[in-house]
Parts: sequence; C-alpha cells; structure tokens
Amino acid sequence: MKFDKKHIRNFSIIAHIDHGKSTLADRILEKTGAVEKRELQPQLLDDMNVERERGITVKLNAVNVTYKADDGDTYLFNVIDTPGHVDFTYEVSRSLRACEGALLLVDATQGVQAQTLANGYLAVDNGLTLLPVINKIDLPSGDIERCQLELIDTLSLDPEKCALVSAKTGQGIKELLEKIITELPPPEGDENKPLKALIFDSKFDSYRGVIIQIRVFDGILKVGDYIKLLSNGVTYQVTELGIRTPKETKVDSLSAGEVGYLCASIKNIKDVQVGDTITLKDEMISPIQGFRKATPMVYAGFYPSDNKDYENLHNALDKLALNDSSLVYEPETSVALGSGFRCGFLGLLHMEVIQERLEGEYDLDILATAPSVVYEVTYSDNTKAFISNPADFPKDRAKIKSTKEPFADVEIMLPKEYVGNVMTLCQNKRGVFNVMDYIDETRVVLKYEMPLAEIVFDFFDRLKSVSQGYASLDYKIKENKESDVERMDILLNGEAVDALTMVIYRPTAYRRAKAIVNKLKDVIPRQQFEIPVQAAFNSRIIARADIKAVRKDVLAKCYGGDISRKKKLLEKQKKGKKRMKEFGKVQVPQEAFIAVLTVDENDA
Amino acid sequence: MPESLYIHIPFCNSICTYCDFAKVYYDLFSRKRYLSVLIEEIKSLSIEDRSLKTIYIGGGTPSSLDDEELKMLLSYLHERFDNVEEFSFECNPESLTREKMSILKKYGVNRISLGVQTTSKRGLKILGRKHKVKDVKRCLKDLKEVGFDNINLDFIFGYRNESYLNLLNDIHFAINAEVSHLSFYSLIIEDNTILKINNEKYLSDERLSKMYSLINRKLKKASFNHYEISNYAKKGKESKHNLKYWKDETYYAVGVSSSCYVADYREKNTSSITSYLNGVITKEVDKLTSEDKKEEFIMLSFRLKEGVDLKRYSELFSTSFLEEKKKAIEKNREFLNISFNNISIKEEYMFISDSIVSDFFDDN
Repeated sequence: MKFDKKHIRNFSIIAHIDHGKSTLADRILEKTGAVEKRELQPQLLDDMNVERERGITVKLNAVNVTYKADDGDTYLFNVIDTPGHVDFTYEVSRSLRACEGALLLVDATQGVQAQTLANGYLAVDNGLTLLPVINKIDLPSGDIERCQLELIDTLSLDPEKCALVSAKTGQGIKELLEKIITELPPPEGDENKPLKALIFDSKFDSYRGVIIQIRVFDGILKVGDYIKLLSNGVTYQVTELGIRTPKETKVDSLSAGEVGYLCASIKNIKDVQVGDTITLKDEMISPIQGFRKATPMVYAGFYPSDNKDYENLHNALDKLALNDSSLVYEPETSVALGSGFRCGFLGLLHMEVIQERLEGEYDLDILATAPSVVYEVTYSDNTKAFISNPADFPKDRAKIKSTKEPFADVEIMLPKEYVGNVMTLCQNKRGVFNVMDYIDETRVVLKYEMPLAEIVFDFFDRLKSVSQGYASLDYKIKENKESDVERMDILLNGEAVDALTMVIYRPTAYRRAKAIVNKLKDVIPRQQFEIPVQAAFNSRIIARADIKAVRKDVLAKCYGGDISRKKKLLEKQKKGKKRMKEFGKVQVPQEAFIAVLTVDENDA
Repeated sequence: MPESLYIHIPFCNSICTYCDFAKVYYDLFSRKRYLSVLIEEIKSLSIEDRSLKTIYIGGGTPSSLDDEELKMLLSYLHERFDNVEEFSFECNPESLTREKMSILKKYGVNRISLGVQTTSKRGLKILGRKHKVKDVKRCLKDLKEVGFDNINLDFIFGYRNESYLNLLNDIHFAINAEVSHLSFYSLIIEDNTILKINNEKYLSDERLSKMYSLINRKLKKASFNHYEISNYAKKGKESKHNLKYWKDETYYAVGVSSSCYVADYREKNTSSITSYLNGVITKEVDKLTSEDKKEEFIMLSFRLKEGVDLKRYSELFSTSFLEEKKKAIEKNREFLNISFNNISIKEEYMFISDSIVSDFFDDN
C-alpha cells in the first residue's frame, strides 16, 4: 500500500534513560495493531540482549506501522528509535535527521532530566518539531504540572500540547496517536528530483548481505536500481526493498518521505557508513550535511580469561564486526595475559557493550585492559611511532625527542548553576578553556580543548556527577599536540604487569600514581600474604600501597547437611579465582584493569 | 552400608538469632505425629539391626521433647541398636531436666552436646538464647551425677562487641567444666536468620583471627586436641559421628530437611514440616560424579588436623593426590604440612583454609 506524503509521519522517541521510551514504543505498536499484545515481548524495539538487560538502546531500529485516524484516513507512522549515550551522539543525530518530528518523553515522577534536554536540543538543532509526552501519569507520585512548567522553562514547549499517557496501562495512547497526526508535520521532498537518501543504520545478514536502514528525502528508489554511496563512490544494485511492520515486508519502491530498508548484496559492512548519503549511480547531488566517518578513538586489549578461548574470541569479534563497522581489532600478545586482541572503539560505553556481548552472547570470559588513546612518539633519531598499547611505549625518556597525543574540542551544555563545578573538573582534566556562551537565561555552553585521554578516562561519569546529571557532552577530535607524557608501570609483589602499564601526564603523575596504587589495593582481594603494589617510572618507584594478608576465610561449621552447600560455595570461590589472572602468586580480578581508570587524583 | 544415622528434631521453645536450621515452635505441630513419621522413615531404610556404630540426634532442640516423647523415640532406637559406640544427643540447658538425663542414660545415649554459646549475659541476648549460666552449671553437675562422662559444650565467638575478656571468660569456663569435648564456632550470619534480618555485622577479620588463635593456644595448654577447624577433644574423645562426615563416609539421615549420604547419592528431605507430618517425604537428590566426590573428599579432609590421607585418596580415586594436585600443592606449599602419609593445613592457616582448599578443586 502506498501513502501520499501527507499521510506519513516520521518520528523518533527521545527521552532520558528509564523514562519509558521502549515501553511507549511497544504500546504504540500494540495500539496500531502492528503486534498482538500476547506476542509482545517487552521492549520490542530493543533487539539485542545487552539492550534489554541494560535498558538502553544501542543499535537503532525503525518500525513502520499504519493507523486509522478519527478523520477516517489511514496514516503510516515510521517510528525510529535512538540510542541514548554520548558515545552514540552521532548516531542519535543521524536518526533524528531521518525524522520530521520527535516525541519528547518525560517521566511524570522525575521531570525533565539531562538527556531529555540534550536530546531535545539535538532534535531542535536538526529542525524537528517536538511533541511533549508526559509518561507514568498512573503513578501517584507523578507531578504533571511540574513537568509542564519545566518543559516551558527549558524548551519553551506549550503545555497545552502535552500528551498525557501511561505507557504501562495504555491510558492516553489513543489521544497521543491523534496528536501525532495533528501536531507533527508530514515529510516534504520531491519524487521528481534525483534520489537522495540517508543511511541511519545497518546490520549484517548472512543471506542478504548488509541491510541498510534508509530515509528517502527526494526521488524514488526501486528494486533493480544501481545506487552509489557518496562517501566512497562505491556502487551496488538494489536486490530488495522493504519496511518493517515490525516483521519485514518487501516493497517495490521507496519514495520521498519514506523510511525502509534496502539490500544490495553488500558484503562488507565497513563500506556502509551511518550518515552517508545514497543516490543513483549516475546522479550528482550534494551529500546530506553532518556526515562523519566513525573512527575508533579508544583502544584496549581484550584477552580471553582462558587461553584456550583465543580462537573463539577471534570468531566472536569477526561476527560482531559484521554488524558494527566502528569496531576494529588486531591480534596482540601480552606477557601477563597471553594472546588477545587490541580493539578500537568509539568510546568507553561502546567498549563495555562489546565486552558484554562477548560475554553474554558468546559466553566468553574477557579480560579487558585499560583503554588508551594513540600516542605519537618521535625518537631521538627522528623516527616516529604511533602507539596504541601503553606496553609498547618506550620506558627510557632519554630516547624520546617528543611525544604527542590527540586533543579534542569539547562542548558541554549545562544549566548555569553547575558552571563552577564543571570548570573545576575540566581544569583537573587538563582542559584549556575556550569560551562560554549563554544559550538562554539558564543554560550555557562551555567550550574546552582537552586531551582525548582525559575524556575517555571516566570524564563523562564525573561530569554527570558534578552536574547532578544535567550536563551533556559532545566532542570532536582535532589533531595531535605536543604533550608531556610518560610511561608508568605497575608492579605487583615486585613484578611489573604489562597489562596495567599506562601512559600518564607527568606534571600530575605523583598524585595519580598514589591514587592508582590505592585503588588497586582496594580492588585486589586480600590473599594469604601481604602484597606491595607499586607504581614506577622506568625503574624508579613513585608510589606504593600494601594489600594486607587475609586473616579469616573459613566455614566454621560443616556437618552432614552442610556439605553440598559448602562445596558449592567453594566451587564459586574457585570460579571467582578462575576469572582472575595470576601474576606470580598474586591473583588479580578483572575489575582491576578498569578500576585504574576511574581513579580520582583527589582520592589520593 | 552406612554405619551412622542422623535424626533431626525440628522443635524449639524459642528461636536463636543465628539459627538457619529447620525448626518450628514447640507447640505448633504435633510432636507425637512427627515422631511416628520419623520412626516409620527409619523403618523404611531397612537398616540391619545392631549395624549402626553412631547415632546423632540433633536439631532444632531435641531436649525440648517431653519425657514421654523421648521414651517413644529412644526405646525404639535402643531396641534395634543397643550396641552403638557413640550415641549423641543435643540439648539446650533450659530444657534439659534431670529426669530427661536419666531417660537418655537409660536408653543408651552416651554423649551429650550442650549448647552453651557464651557465658556473657549480653552475648546470650544477642544470640537469642534464653538460658542463664546457672542453668549450664546445673546441667553439668547433674549430667556427671547421672553418669555421663562424654560431654561436648558448644560455644560461639564473634558476636557484636565481644571483648577478648568475654572470650577469655568463655574459654576458662569451658576448661573448668572438665568436659571431654569443646566446639568453638566463629559466628556465621546466615541468610534467613534473625541476625541477618537485623543487619548484624561481623567483627573484623583481624579481630576474629586473633580470637581464634587465643582459643587454640589456651585449649592446647589444657591438653585438648584441635582435631577439626572448630572442634577440640580430649584424647580419644573426638566425635566418632562427626568424623564420619569429615572422613567422607556414608550416613543415613531422617527427619525434616535432613541430609543423607548413601552410595553415590546425597539426598535432602523436604523442609516442609506439614508435608513431612503427612508422611510425604520428597527428596532433593544429588548424584555425585567422581569429580564431586574428589572435591568433597578434599574439602572435608582439609578440615581435619590430619588432612588428606594420601593412601586412602589413591584407593578411592585410583590416582595420586600428589601428582594430580601438584600445581595447587606447589602454590600453597608454605601453608601446608606435607608428610609421607598426609597433607594438611598448618594450624596457623586453618582460619584461612577456604581459599587454600578451593585451589584444590577441579583444575583441568
């Protein structure tokens, strides 16, 4: 069935985490009859296990549903889901690009939150019309009026226009569907112009190759057409077009204003970049603005806890990369950890998501080393090296002429009352202040230049905590700049652990070293003997803390009825040990490798 | 066939704060009915008469049974197993009357385990114990007069704010009681206990470790043999029944929520007193693999002063412990006593034995 543009609505649902976005999406699917209630798996739009478990959306999804409105006409709704984390800000902006409107969802019990604002501004920046939706109105603790006032204050949204719903009970959903038609604009665009379509997601299917989610802005795309990707000029012939209802349904063509998927026997997902523009093979058009190639900015070593799993890890990474063009990896070897892979990610959350998928979907025990950026080292003989693994960084400073590290332009949007806190944080993170702009009376944008290494080391979490969750962050990598960094080794029981080696900024090295050894002391469980934890430059010790010996660890009682249970406890303990890595006689849990990152110098 | 029988009596007059055993208030259910189901259960096991070497009646509070109920259970057991070597009965000081002692004596009970826990008034209150120290003294005097010479006293240490002086008082009390056996348990705050619900906390490991050393030192001086992590006995008075558990030998068990070990199976009876009273005894059955058996043998052996019996290990599992567990032995060498026949954990490391023992579990 074909719809003319005025009967199409393309929109996203944007919200702060846990405000009920996926539940609302489910309810819309149910009320439009796209899915039977009993078929409805909670949070249908979240495909991946990781997403359902963490309650966050990482990969995008789009669903097309039809709705028979009170005016007697049938409308096509294209609901486009968005991820909700700074690592994926770019993906969010791409998926918003594919829409004309957005439902801005607010939890009545919590009101407007940081991501409500951050995503709200992002939507406004992309020219979207916002339809405010207040959710969880069935809860007695909800305060609708307060939410409405906050929406006026922050985003100048008309309280009259608010839809009031309970995604859980279904209350108000019908009214919301009507509002979507009256309040959100239909798509524009011209079928007669050359094809212009935006890629906002892709995934790999072993039978059909890469499946691309697209929004058509101009022109018509038909099965059999030859298409061209503007960023790399590669061409393909379209083998299949379709929409998701949410089951995949094939169509012959997609025209201006429509959202759907396309297959073209594309073998390599790296050819398909989110944000890229598609046109027909022989057309010359200008690309849709804002395209950015996804480049890994953070590297970490991934090692199987059990060396026997090396090949399994390799296979799993191969498979994950099929669906994730931003994941890169190559084999590496560590003295302490054996054989593994150095992997590149968009950011820390991306890294965590990959790690969780390897563990959850592929049942692998992964040990991840501290993430690192890529350092540029110039040796005394003027040769240059790019180092993404701190263990490869030269120990001897005398051999180094200069070192450079990547810097980024950072933009932080926040309510003005947190400016002091955030500025202090940025200064501690070696930020160089650029400018402060007032957006309106209450909000400002702070612009800093900052080393990327500081951003990936838990800057985001700390930013959220000093701003009570209200600051949002975006950053763009600039260039490598000269920087006074040095390699620091960590010694356990006198032996250096290469997987804990890191590159740090010299002027604050002592404080940081102290904080790191203290943190390790807390994270590494007590063992039967005392263990010194030391930090060293070259072989010079600059900080030390001691892990005291364990003093009690025994089951006081074990009689006939206790045996099975106690054995299970010991087995669990054994399993816990197995997840740890042995360095000499010292057992180090996985968390230790990450814990060193979340160290606050002020803790020292 | 097993030579030991455990009998669980779930009734209590009051509930102790640390207890996670199956127990019910004294008056809520028919004790007579329980005992008759229990006796039927024993019958159903088809144990050969006079084939048992040890019987242990534990709880709950077995001494909360009244005279008539005691007679009902004990006369049955005595009739069939009048030759047991060790017949233990658990008692609480407040419910153990002189009359009950005579009944126990008459029907062949020859070992009494008395729950003292502590002599500190405050300690008793924290642990939810209803007796007074003078009840314990009365019991000790009467037990000896009635003719019991094999008596164990149970103590718990590590309750909130216990001082070294409190502990020292308990140790002196235990030694001066002139009994043959003592147990000192470091308090465990188990799930589903009143302590846990009240969010009670442990003393620091350092403090508990010092307390444990103090107990070991004082009891050694008083010539007690520290033969298991928490157990101390005068020469030859080690608990035969409990040693069956630690030497990984088989045993029968009857009563609600009791666990037996027969052939390759560990089975646990239903924990529901109501279904038990209706004679419906469902069981959780766990068949042990040879790996399970090894692990249990190791876990239990290492609780003992004598540790793993190397010869017995190779007989049971047709493999050499020294070779099979070479890596774990190497890693823990400094914590172990290694002799020709045995490998055991040094006394000073017994209090940290879990992490040592888990190293000996399935290494692949």
